[in-house]
Amino acid sequence: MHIPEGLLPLDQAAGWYVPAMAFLAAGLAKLKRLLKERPQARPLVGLMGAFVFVVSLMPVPVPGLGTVSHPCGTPLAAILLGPFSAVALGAVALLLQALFFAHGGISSWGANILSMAVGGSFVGFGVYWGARRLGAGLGIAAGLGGLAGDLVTYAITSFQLALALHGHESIGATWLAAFGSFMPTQIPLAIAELFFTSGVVVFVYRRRADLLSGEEMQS
Amino acid sequence: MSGRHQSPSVIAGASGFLGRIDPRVKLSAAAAFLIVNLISRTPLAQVAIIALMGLLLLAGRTPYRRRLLLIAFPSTFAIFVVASQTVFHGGEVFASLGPFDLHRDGLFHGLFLSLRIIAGGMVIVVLGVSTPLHRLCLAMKWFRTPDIFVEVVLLTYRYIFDLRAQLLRMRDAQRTRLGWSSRGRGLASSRMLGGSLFLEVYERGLRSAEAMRCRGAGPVAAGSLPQLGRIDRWALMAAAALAAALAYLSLAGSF
Repeated sequence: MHIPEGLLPLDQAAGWYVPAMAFLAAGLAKLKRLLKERPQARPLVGLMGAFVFVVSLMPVPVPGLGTVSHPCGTPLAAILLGPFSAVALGAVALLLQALFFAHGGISSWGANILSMAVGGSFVGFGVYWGARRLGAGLGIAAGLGGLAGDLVTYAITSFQLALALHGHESIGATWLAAFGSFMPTQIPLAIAELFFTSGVVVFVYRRRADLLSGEEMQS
Repeated sequence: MSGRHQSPSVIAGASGFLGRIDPRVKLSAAAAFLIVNLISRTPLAQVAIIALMGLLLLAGRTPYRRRLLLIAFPSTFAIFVVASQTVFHGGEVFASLGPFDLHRDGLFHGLFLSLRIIAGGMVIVVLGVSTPLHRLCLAMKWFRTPDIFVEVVLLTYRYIFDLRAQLLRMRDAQRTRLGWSSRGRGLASSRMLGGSLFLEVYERGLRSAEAMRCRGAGPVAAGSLPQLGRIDRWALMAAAALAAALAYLSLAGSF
């Protein structure tokens, strides 16, 4: 999913940075408040950042597209810490991957934040929240959140790639081709993310219900 | 720490003269090179950046395999981009390969993009292998990056190693005791192992955070990081002059 350095033209790279930085600023403000009110949350913040880093650094090459598939981890982070905090953690994970593994990039950081951190966190958390409101069990809701967050990440990345690489073709057709190219590798990974997110959330809820975000505690 | 647990940042400190350059200078120069890489309209700038970064990588004392591994990521992307652009970019057809038409415009565009990807990737690789994370964090602080961001970077970096160590321990234990007898059992136990891994690392982190609090650490430790000394202005000016010259040549169309 990580768009490499140099693939996006300067105007598009800068354009993706604007909304990404707005979300990142909001996420950092949320994390700052969290750490001030609950200093004991530091390990959870570090652990979730590391978790997103490790999970999204398991690349499976996508033939013909010039990028890779991998699970995201941001839906799980969003369920445990809230979507804004998960955006900040996803952004940090993406920066470390770019700097120390050349996986992703600096100019493409904004685009990658929008797809994996913002898309994965908000859609993953939104689906989880909606499913809980509709009466779904914790495991099912979390799993659906993981699945949706994962697939939406790739839909957004495909759009970003289509915008940059469509050439003489239409953006829609290129988006479809890019998203279709991701699917053979991404559908199994998204299903794995469904089971993993569901399993971890249920396990954590049984042992340490206090770690789930306030939203879950109220339901 | 054994070799297999070392990250590029850990080995970065040993990368010769590159490691001794002020991280603020390296960050500024890297940013300038990345911008030049994106704005240049001809491939000469990318070729120059690749050559320069290649020389810097050779001059540094980064292990040979590590260098190849890091460059492999952008290089693989670059190959795929040439192939996909040649087929999908459109324009004049110069050959056919089975059901696919190969387009001349796409081939040239793909080659140009691939050079840009490799050049950008190499700038980042040189920055990454020559600058330990704590030095980068000090530089980020100097550039007025919010403390909370630097704090999350440091926290995440630290827990990557905890998580990895615990993951390897649990995987080895599972292999030794039971293995994964079937896919269904494997999936079920992976979910449980994932949860256990999460809680184990979290609880260990809680104990260590408690210990740090007892030693007087505040809620945001990045606020108390030491300041970097005076910046080497000559090095900064040299990097800025080089970047400005490249940018001028790129914008003027010479590059």
